[in-house]
Amino acid sequence: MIFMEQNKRKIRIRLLILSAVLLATAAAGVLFGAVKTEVRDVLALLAGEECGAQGRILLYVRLPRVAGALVAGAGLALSGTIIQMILDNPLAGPNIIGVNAGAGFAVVSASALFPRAYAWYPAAAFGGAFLTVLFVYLFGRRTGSSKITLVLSGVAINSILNSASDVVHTISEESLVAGSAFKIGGLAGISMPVLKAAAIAVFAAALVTFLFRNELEIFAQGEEMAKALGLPVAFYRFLFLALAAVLSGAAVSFAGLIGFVGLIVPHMARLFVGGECRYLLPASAMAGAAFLTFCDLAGRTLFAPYEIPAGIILSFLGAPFFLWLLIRRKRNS
Amino acid sequence: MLEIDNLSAGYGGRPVITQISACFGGGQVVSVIGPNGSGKSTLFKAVMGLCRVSAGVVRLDGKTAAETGERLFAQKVSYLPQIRSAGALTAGRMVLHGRFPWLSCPRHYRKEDYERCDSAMERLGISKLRDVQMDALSGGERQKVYLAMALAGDTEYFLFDEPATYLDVRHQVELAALMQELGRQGKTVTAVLHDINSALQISDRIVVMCRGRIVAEGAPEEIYESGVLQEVFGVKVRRLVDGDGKAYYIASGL
Repeated sequence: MIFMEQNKRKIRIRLLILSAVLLATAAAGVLFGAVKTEVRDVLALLAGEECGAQGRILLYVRLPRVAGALVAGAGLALSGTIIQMILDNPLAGPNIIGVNAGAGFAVVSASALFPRAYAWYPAAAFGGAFLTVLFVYLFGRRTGSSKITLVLSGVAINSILNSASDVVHTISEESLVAGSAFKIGGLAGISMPVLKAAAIAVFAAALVTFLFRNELEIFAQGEEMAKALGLPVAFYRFLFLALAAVLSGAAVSFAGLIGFVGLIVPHMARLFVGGECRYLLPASAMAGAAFLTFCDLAGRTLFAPYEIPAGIILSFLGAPFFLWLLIRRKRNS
Repeated sequence: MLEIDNLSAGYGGRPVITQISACFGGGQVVSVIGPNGSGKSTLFKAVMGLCRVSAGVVRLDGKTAAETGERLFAQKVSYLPQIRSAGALTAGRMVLHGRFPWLSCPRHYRKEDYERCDSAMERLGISKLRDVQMDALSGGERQKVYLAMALAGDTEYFLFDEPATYLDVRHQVELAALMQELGRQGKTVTAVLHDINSALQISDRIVVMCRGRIVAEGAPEEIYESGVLQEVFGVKVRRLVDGDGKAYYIASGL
């Protein structure tokens, strides 16, 4: 019993550390930027005093941006954690297997067809993401393909969906979800109504996922084991894939095709707190939120007043990490 | 009673096992033996509903698996598969998941589950491994974790597919004792074993499979006498009895 208590305490301390890091990153994200602001500007804003230029920047630029980074980061990281567990594939992530691209295509199409219904973009994104993840899952199952094949088929799905998005962009002038910025992914110019709807979706999906954490953990032991332990596998597979689609779709709906958060963060979180979902899920969500906020902050301060979208920073970090995963796999097998 | 009635099953195309009928129950220890590829593992998978059943049914206490329901079936029958993954979970957590069939939705573990998990780990002598991650364990330790997981589930029927894999000789002896003890407690233990000697020594009944069919079934003595082992495995099996009257079975080339 002593052993167990020690282990639990160690993991809880790590979760505390992680939440401290998250808070610090979020605070830094609000305070720092191209325009200098100080703590007393924040305090003045909180006290409800008349806003100066600094106050307005905080209220209308920084806060939505940091809030967006937190929501998108948490959503993508949780989605990646679920996808890796359900597909039993450490190389999978919402951007790798084309789930983000599916959501993106749906959002771009929706913005071309119904430019004013932006509060519904998260719903459209969910639809696109869910159809894609379902397709990838069934494709892998039908062909009995290996983990690498699934990743390769993801490459194909990604390029089909991204080309389709490009076609929509080209023929529709209305679709000003802004072509290349959307494709790179970033948090500049977040639309508040979309963010609000997406935040609610991420929060609700995260709660449901946490409620069914033991089922997810059993599922991750392989479908045979799950079935032998009496889990209604078909139902839960559907549920978890839908949750993953809600989480990444919501993020894509306002932040564009931000890559790699959903691939890297689950690995980091697993190294940090282990595979038990009770700890892994909150750790993933917090680490994802902090990571994306950090990347966004780096992007807008490193070369200020020029700004690099968070998506580009992430590709610089994420692509080498993905290569490292591939090499490590090769060595193990 | 776990009853297999005229069962044919496989993966996709041609069935691997054909027209199998057998009955397990009554606190017996039953060993399923047979050459590689004779369908032993497939038989277990078919019972658990893990491969495609093309004909026949499996009944648990007179009801099919569908009639019994997934959860109730898992409460009564536990299955140790041959290929086992090793993830980032701790051993203690893995054993705890043996209690999963007993939870109702949404499934969160209760105090009783933790207690049963503790005693199962103690019984297999792996309490110390509780906080070690599965991927850091040796093959034999991992095997014991899975056995503890089956014990924690407190089922009436145990289906062990090659439980002795990775175990060193002392742990093999312990495993044999554990299986016999479960039998004495009224549990029915069915195991795929490769070691003919231990199968014949510890079992109440032997099922011999070859090319997807059951070719012989009976008490270890009868199976030995019938010469079916020689026919199926292509080896000569001899029986030696020591001073205490304990029998040993030794295989050699023809």
